[in-house]
Amino acid sequence: MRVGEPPGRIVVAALSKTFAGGIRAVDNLSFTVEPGSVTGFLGPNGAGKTTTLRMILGLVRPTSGTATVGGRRYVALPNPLRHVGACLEASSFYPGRTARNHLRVYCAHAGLPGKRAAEVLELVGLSAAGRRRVKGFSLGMRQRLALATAMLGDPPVLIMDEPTNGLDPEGIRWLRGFLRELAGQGRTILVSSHLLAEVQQTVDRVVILSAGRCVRQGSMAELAGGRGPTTLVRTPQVDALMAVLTSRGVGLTRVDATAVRIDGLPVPDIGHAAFEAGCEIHEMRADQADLERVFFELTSQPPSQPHVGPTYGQPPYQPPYQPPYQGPGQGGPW
Amino acid sequence: MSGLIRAEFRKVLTTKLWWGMLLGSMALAALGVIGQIASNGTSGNDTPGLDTTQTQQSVFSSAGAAGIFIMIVGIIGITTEYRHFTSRPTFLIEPRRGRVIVAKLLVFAVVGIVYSLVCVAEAIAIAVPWLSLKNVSVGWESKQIIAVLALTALGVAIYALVGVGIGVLIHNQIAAVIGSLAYFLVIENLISIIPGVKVIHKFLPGATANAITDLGHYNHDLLRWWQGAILLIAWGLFFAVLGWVLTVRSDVP
Repeated sequence: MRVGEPPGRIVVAALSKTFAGGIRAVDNLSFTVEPGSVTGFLGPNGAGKTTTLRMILGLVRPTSGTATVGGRRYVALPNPLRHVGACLEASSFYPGRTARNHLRVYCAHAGLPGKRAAEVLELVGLSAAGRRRVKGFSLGMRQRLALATAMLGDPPVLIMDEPTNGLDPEGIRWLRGFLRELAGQGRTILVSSHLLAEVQQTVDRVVILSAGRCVRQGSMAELAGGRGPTTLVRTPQVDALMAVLTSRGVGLTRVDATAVRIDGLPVPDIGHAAFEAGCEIHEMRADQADLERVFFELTSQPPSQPHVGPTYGQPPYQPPYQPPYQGPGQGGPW
Repeated sequence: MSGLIRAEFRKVLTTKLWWGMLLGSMALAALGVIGQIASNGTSGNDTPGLDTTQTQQSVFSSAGAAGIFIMIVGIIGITTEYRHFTSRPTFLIEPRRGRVIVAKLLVFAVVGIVYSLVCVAEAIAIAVPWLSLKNVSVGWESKQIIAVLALTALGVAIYALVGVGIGVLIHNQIAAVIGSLAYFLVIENLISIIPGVKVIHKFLPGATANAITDLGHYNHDLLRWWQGAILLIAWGLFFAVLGWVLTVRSDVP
């Protein structure tokens, strides 16, 4: 973002959408996306992610609530291409038109010089394919072309719906680097995914959606820290260790016949408990890469009900976060 | 708005559709000219001779065959956006969707004028040498022929508006193309022969289009040329406005 431009903050306030037939796709959703960060917009298929993004972009009309970019509704933005870049599903191309001509159409539309088409093709690594018709493109190339289209106006805000779909591992790695670079330039990036693992290394913050509602928003560190440290312990005497910890009210989950996952208890305390119980320890390590489980638990149940999962002895999630757990490799600026 | 219009022109010119349909228009126009000149005076054909203004007007207005083609081009120009979901980037760049529709109406009218001028030139290129071979002089001096050529171009341009209007109303490309062809080539002709309802025929789109080139009002089942022109424009705008109200404002798929 260039100096002096208004902040590209996205504000979604009490947004709801009920489709014909009474399906409530988005239900009183509120969240904020700040400039200079990559925000992951997460949730399982059908959680309402795409509908929300389309409401932000003015393609779908909200039933109630508002969504603004830089303080304005999308439809009120002058020359929106220069303000917000959007990548929806990578299928919005006329198959018989070349990539370059596809871009040149929108250059003309937004009053940009035609050479901008070549620049964005270069930016996404599609220069060699610019004069080919889009119908011969792989899904990964279409994703790149969609990204090129979004970048035409050099926008301070980028909104992407499942951009990793169809990308190979190399493409996903490239996209990560690309998004980090853009966020480093101070742009606002909102990227949806149904897989936390896919965006885990890219995003600073997450907004997690389930059944049209926001079940969690915060930094990655907060997402992990909401549960406190988690430790995986492997021991032949699992039952004895679980008995002693359960009697102290510690939350735990049996992983298999010789392993248990323990929530919220510092490692020295676990070691002490194991020593007292006479358990032989084969492995004990911080299980900090377990965000996928947090994500799954958050999104696999109605958010209004108390937690009832495949674990026992574990307290339900309490909204006031515990102090963020700053494990290595998580949180902090990337 | 000027950027929008340039973008719409680029959309037309960066696909193969426009010249494929132009070739189709030219083929049909040529067929009309050749058919009328060749069949004139043969047994069973009671149209007035080639030296009459009425027949010469009819020969030259064969260029109006481009109308049905530009209508299809107009329909496809809108429906292809919905079919290939380019409606998303289009409406993302211009969230005021009505302006997109207006730009398309203007651009396809211009494309229609280009089509009609090409077909008019073609009709002249075929008919004038052929008639002079038959020692028939073309009545340029009456200005009637010139007027008919101009009105033919006008009629074709208005057909483009009708096409865009139909596309705005019916987003399904196949349904819109097949439906409008069936209407103009079959259904309206049926209406014109059914007793009781045939009184409304002259107000229908196909009949109003035919009226535009009937400068001498030789066919009394049609409106006057200017009435036809106004009514056909109204039909195109009616479809577009109806489509706007019913579908364009709603959520983009």
